[in-house]
Amino acid sequence: MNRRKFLLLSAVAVAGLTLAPAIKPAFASSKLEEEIKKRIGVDLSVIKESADIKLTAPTIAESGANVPITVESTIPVDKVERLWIFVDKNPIPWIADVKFTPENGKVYLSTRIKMGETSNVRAILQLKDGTFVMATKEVKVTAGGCG
Amino acid sequence: MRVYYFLMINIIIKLLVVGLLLYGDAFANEKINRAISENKLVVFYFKSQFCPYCAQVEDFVFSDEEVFKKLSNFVFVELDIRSDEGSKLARKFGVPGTPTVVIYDPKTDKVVGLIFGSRPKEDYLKTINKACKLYNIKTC
Amino acid sequence: MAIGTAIVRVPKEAKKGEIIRVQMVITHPMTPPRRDPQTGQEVPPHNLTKLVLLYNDRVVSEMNMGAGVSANPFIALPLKVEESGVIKIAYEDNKGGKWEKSAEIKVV
Repeated sequence: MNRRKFLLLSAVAVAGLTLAPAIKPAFASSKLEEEIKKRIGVDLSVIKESADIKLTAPTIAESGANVPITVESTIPVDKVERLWIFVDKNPIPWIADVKFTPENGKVYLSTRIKMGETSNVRAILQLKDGTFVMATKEVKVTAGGCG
Repeated sequence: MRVYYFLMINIIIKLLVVGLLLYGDAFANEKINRAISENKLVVFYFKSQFCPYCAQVEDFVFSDEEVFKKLSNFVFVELDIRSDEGSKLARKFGVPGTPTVVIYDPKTDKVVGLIFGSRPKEDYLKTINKACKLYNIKTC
Repeated sequence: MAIGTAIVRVPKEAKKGEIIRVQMVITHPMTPPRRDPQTGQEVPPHNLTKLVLLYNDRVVSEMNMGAGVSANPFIALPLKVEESGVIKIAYEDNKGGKWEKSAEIKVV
């Protein structure tokens, strides 16, 4: 094709790529977003990533049936309502939730979860003042077998 | 009296063992015969107890709606790789371990596909689709 | 081990005001809703649904869970101990199973 057509096409492509993320159809929410809305009652968009909550999980999981995760937070436990755990790509993204009281002393949870495929794991802390903070970690699930 | 009971139990156990030895292969053979008569391929699923990768495949792959629907076009046979039947067939197909899925054509006695390990469902769908295409299975 | 049996591990002794870790392992299959390609049937899920952590009969923490938690779940939760007493977990599954397990701790 001639140079002018090529330049025009590239300009359109670049414009499309930069605008695309902004043009998000209102009706297309992911399974994760729907699950969060259903369980917690808020949109994922109001939940912000925060260094005040730490999620430890392997970068590469040996077995998707047993992925160890640990959640800790420096936020005082008496300010905390509930901790929620989600796995984006599981058939049911909600994994568990824990209600904390001051007698817990601090926010902490360690457990093992199942993951069907490589996905984000999210720890969402619901605070008593109605705000939310989150830590996200991508865990790669590799294929394994038993000899 | 006690000796009599002991003898009876002894004989019953021996009969059971002989029966199992003679007819132990019945399960898989029966399913293979059914596949032949229904014009279907066989999907063998080799599993072993306590293998977490088998649990993963059962939880996330076989239970997936799309995979489940496709599998309904085959005769599905679940086997413990350590059972008599399972180990015999595993040797025949060259099964490396568990979980292993073997797609088998009973009419030609050929292995059409083999997947080993807890792979994502897309890998399973790829192999299943290949078999479906090769054998022109319309509902697959 | 039978379904529902648990091991609860806590330190034997702790200082007043210390935050200890209550570790537990519960025997349970935690099977999600499954489709069995062999029978063509849907197999209903069998999983723990709730776990309550109590200290001297006071509810400290409640955990809701589904079959997304691994089989034979390992769970660790924090507990701030002010007096000696009994740490108890009470847990149930979706098939009517209800169990409890306790451990004692001395606070100095």
